Amino acid sequence: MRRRWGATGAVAVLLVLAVPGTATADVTTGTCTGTVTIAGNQYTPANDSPSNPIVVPDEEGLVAAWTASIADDPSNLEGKIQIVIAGLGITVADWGTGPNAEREANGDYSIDEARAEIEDVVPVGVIPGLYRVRGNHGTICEGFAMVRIEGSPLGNVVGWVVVVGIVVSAGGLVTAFRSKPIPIIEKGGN
Amino acid sequence: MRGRPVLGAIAGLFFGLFVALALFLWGVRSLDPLTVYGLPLLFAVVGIAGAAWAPLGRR
Repeated sequence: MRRRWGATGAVAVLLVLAVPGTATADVTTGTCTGTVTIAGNQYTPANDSPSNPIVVPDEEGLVAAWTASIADDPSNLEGKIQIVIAGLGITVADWGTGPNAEREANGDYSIDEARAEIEDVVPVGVIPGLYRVRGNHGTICEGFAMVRIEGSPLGNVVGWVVVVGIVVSAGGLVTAFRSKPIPIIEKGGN
Repeated sequence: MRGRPVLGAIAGLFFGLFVALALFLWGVRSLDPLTVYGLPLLFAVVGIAGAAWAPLGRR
């Protein structure tokens, strides 16, 4: 099911499309260019690995300022943003452009609003972690970025389920690693 | 087999899955196919091998 998460989509758009086209790591095809600034840090296509992601701090009142532009004509195309889990893309935003679409854009948006929208849809709220996000606008711009949403892993039920699951399954491994008792065969007779 | 290979495989599978989720939550790895499928399979194999070896002895 496709969902249009206004602010979330805007975040994803800037994460994927608003990156310099001169770098090849994020923008796999196309001539997209741009930046995003969150909490005073400006991000570029270099933020495409687990060790160097775009960081969304666990703070209130954050505003992300973004700019984006594209050299090719973005008119009459469809695009989407997906979170990639186990190789499968979950669409979080999609859009279409009409004729004479603008090639440059910029803006500010509230990350609090994006969090609120996610909390409306996901029962456990925003789950911190390292996400791979990919997106495209037609075939003229495609790319991905790594996004780390900060927060306490044990701040929601998912973290605790994981901890309990590790402990229980480790217990299962320990049990499996023990020798089975040798059955005692009693000799019959009086 | 001296241990419990079926239990080892199942426990290893879930152990790997939960470790993958922990790595994701703590921001070490994303939920890429290698992490989501590779770790559970790896630990399932470890579980079977450990059950065959049964290094912990009887309780």
